[in-house]
Amino acid sequence: MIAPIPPIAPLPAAPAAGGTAAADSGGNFSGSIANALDQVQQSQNTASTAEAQAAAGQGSVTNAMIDATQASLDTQVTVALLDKGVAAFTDIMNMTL
Amino acid sequence: MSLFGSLDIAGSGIDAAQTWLNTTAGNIANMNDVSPMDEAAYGEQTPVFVPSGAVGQIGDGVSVAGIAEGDTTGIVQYDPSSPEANAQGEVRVPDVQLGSQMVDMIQAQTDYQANASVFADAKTAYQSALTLGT
Repeated sequence: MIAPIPPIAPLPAAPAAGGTAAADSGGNFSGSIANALDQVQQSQNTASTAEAQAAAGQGSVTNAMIDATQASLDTQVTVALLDKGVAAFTDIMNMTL
Repeated sequence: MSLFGSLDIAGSGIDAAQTWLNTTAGNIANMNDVSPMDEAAYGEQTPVFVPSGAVGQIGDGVSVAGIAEGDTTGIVQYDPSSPEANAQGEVRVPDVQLGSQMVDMIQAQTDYQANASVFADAKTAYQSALTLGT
């Protein structure tokens, strides 16, 4: 018998007012990007370890490639977000007052 | 589940297919083994695939629960020239069919390719998500 898939739990309620959203999201833009970059560094370290193990004949090549792809995607996400943030900043700086 | 869940899931499928290829290679390599009558013959090895997550949960990849071993009685052959033969000149040879092993190998290869294809497509999908709004 195939067990039914349970319904997806409802998402937590969104913050009510726009003013509190910034405080809830845990800090400013540079802090978020720094955190993201830390995580990118971590995933790249994981990828390096996996590649070293694969090269030494201990780990699997598949795992090394998966970790490398994940590190690459992590980097791309962070760079995309950084670009968006910088673009927003530039837009504001170029505002004609 | 991490940010890129489907990459891990496809990776687990690749690992499973790799295990299948390994057991098939081992079966073909041991096809011509000879064992004495008082010992077990080589049993055909088949990996047992089970889902990684709990039943009813959204996919969490596949894992190898274990390796099932086939019949170790083997096939009794008359081969008095073998050093393993008993007084009646009988030996055990594994009950492994090359034809079915080759079919298994092609299935394992296709399994591997399918999972690699899912991996590549998932990567493209994640990348196209990054181009939203540009």
